[in-house]
Amino acid sequence: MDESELISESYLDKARGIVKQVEAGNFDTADKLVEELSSSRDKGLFQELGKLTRQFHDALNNFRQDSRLAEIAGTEIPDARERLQHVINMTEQSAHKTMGVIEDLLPMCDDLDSQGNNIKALWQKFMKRDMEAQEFRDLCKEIEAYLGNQHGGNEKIRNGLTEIMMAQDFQDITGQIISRVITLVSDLEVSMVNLIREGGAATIEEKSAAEEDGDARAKLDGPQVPGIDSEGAVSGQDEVDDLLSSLGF
Amino acid sequence: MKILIVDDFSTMRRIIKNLLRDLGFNNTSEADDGQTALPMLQAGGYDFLVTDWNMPGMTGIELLKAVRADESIATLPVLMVTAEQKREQIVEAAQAGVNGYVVKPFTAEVLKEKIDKIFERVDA
Repeated sequence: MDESELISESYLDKARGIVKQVEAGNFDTADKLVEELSSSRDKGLFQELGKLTRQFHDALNNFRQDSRLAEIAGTEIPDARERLQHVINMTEQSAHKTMGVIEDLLPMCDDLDSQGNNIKALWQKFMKRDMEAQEFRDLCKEIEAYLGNQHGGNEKIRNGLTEIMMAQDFQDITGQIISRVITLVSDLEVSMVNLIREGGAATIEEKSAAEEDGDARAKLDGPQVPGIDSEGAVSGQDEVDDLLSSLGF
Repeated sequence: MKILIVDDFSTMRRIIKNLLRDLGFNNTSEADDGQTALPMLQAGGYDFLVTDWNMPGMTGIELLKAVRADESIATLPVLMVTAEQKREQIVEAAQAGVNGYVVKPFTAEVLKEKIDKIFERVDA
């Protein structure tokens, strides 16, 4: 028989006692039994409250002892915040760079187009033999200028397209950073689930996502983020070159 | 000149492929990690390997070591293009026999310079 059954049994006993005493006309005794009944209900409440307090206390203690959770809350979440901020900065830079190139190139394309149309109209006139000698000399000059602009313009467009392509390099780096934050979030999830289980008095060991991903990749540092994790890292290609040349490269 | 580009991000593979095409290298193939790349290299015909470091399955450094350990492809020139920039990692790559090391993000000029340098040495 468990605790709650015992309690309901004793309630029933007392209730039957009260009915018996009232029927017999012993109101004083009935009063006493009513009092006993209400005090035993209070006792049950206090016991429940005590149990809850104990569980809460244990959960708090476990929370303090769960160093993984402390690590996540203390360092990794602020770190992740900076990393995600870096993702925003990189994608923003890339978008601006791309749009900047487009804004530079579009007016040039328009100029070349109108110059070409102008020449086309004059050329048609020439083909219809409807052109003065001076007009023809002007046309020749215009064609020469156009060919020069067209050549320079093509080169500018080419460079601009390469620049736009290079501006897409953020995706690789932001992808790596976001994957790390996803790992952190699943670590946090596992820790929270463990905490809840411990609160319910059932401790279940579960590996964190990073531990499960035990290959050589998880140990790598990944992309550098300005302001954090610069320890032992070079700050750019120049330093890489210096380091390699010091190694005889 | 046949070149294998290994990176787990398809955008980065496309960028490198386009830059190489600009430099006059039209014959490129792609692989998304070391595990896929190694058998392709072992099948022969490649003259140059451009690889990322941080990849699932088999990382770039593992691929580099596997290449150097395989007699048939041990002398293949390898350029590492990676976001990893810890000193100890660069030293590790150098010790494993990398021919060049470019950190991301990089410019088209840097890539060209490193590739030119590698072939100068190979040809010398």
